[in-house]
Amino acid sequence: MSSSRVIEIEDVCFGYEYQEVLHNISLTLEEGQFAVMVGPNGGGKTTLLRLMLGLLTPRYGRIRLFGQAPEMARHLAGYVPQSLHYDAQFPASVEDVVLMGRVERHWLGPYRRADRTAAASAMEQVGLGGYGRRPFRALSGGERQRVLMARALASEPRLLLLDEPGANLDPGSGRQVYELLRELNRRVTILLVSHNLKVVASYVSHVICVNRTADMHRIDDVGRTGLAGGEWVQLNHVSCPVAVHDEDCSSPHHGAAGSQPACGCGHSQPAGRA
Amino acid sequence: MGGLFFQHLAEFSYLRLALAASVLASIACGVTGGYVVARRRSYLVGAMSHALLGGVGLARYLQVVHGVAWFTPMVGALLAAVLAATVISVMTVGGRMREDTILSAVWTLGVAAGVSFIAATPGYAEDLNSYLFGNILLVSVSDLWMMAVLDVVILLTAWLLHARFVALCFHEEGLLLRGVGVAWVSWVLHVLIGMTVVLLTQVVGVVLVLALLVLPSAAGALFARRLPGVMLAGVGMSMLFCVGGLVVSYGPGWPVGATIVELAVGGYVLLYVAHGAFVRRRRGKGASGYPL
Repeated sequence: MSSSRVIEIEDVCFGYEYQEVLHNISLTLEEGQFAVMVGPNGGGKTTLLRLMLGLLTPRYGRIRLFGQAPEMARHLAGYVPQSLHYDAQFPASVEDVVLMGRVERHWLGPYRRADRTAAASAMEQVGLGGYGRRPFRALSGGERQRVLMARALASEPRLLLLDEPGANLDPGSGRQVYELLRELNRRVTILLVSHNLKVVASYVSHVICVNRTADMHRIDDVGRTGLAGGEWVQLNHVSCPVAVHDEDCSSPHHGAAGSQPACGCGHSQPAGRA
Repeated sequence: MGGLFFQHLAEFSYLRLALAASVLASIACGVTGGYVVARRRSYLVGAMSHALLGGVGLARYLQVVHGVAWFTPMVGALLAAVLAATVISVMTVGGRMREDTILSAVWTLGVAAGVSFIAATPGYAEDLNSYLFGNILLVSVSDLWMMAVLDVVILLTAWLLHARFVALCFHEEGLLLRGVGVAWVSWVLHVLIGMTVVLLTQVVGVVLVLALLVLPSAAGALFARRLPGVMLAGVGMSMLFCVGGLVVSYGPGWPVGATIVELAVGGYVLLYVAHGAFVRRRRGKGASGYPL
């Protein structure tokens, strides 16, 4: 197993109760890559992120994070959720929240000077320098999202997972965030979920189309297969061009060579729901 | 009002013990109350406090019927607190069972066990009242020592694990993703809450503990920006309510626990209204609305 493989997903299927959400997913994210997951709402993007972090367990298949079970290695990843279900009145300063990214570093006792330095630098990076003492509850949605990003950065992650980082930001701040990610990508592997491939296309190295199945493409290849220009919109919102597979995960031939998804780039057939 | 209390304070040692008990209980109350309020787990306190009745009943039964002298009601209460904290933690970890179902079961089982043990203990039925509503004027020196030890344990644990407790209270999943065992952090916090409930039961009794553990810190949360501030304010408010209740109730001979709780509720409502007015005034001036 190569150590440069950050995420390995093999033949993974996942479903909630009666509905299969992800079918026969195989993906590998290598160190240094900057990938974006696109696909329609309900296509399984966030579910896939949560599977990678071990917050969900696949029905079939295997997931490895840095060559280990996700539960063992997820502290190496910084996760920026789209939103948090937290108490809006929680009494914490911005610095308190950012420091939570380093909570596992000491078994006992308060945060050390090094933690505070890392937190301050993370806040500086996301443009929140000088916000440390402000109450978290008094911030706007966009500012809170940047605090969560600073929390992820403060943990000095080897992998950054971001769920719609631009969703609550105005276009200007969004661009700043993507510029920052490009800068970070020199040393950190990045995987983000986005609704707007057009905005992130100039930053990322790979595109993963997720709509029950998933296919990964180099960003250059996506351009060559004729999906550039006006068709980005189609790729984003309607028909992520992936083949539809009819067989269920429980079928006996699951995982066999014949059931590997054929890349459907260039098709525009919408993926059907089971 | 309260003049009589101070006249008698030098004279009667039980009043000095009651005063010391109020102060000791308030320290734990503010610190643990901060976590309870931040995590919105008031109902857990209710369940935990009522579960203590089972331990207290068992202690009385063993002392009177079987002559186990060292098994004091406080020891029984502590045992019940740790047991309740463990049951609640184990059963609710990872959403295994619905939390409100478990809390309801622990809550009522504690009361039921307490009633059964007290019924089986000859001559102690009237004692039930002082466990339910507290009687701070009966606190002994050895109780006080045990309260002091509990305070030290609670403060030390809170200082050592504060970072983890804050992360747990803010967002449990976030702590899990940092590779920290959420189950044991939340178990330790539950045990701390249980210990604090044992302390406060000495002052206001099982039924009224909830008010004292939640309201001072909730009042503090109106004004403080960060959890340590909430805790500090909680300690102060709790001392104010406990000592105030003790002093005010002494002259007219009112029940102390009830007076303390009435003072706490009244004080909280007053501060809440004052805070609202303060925020409106600041908003009027174009400020963000967040005080201090």
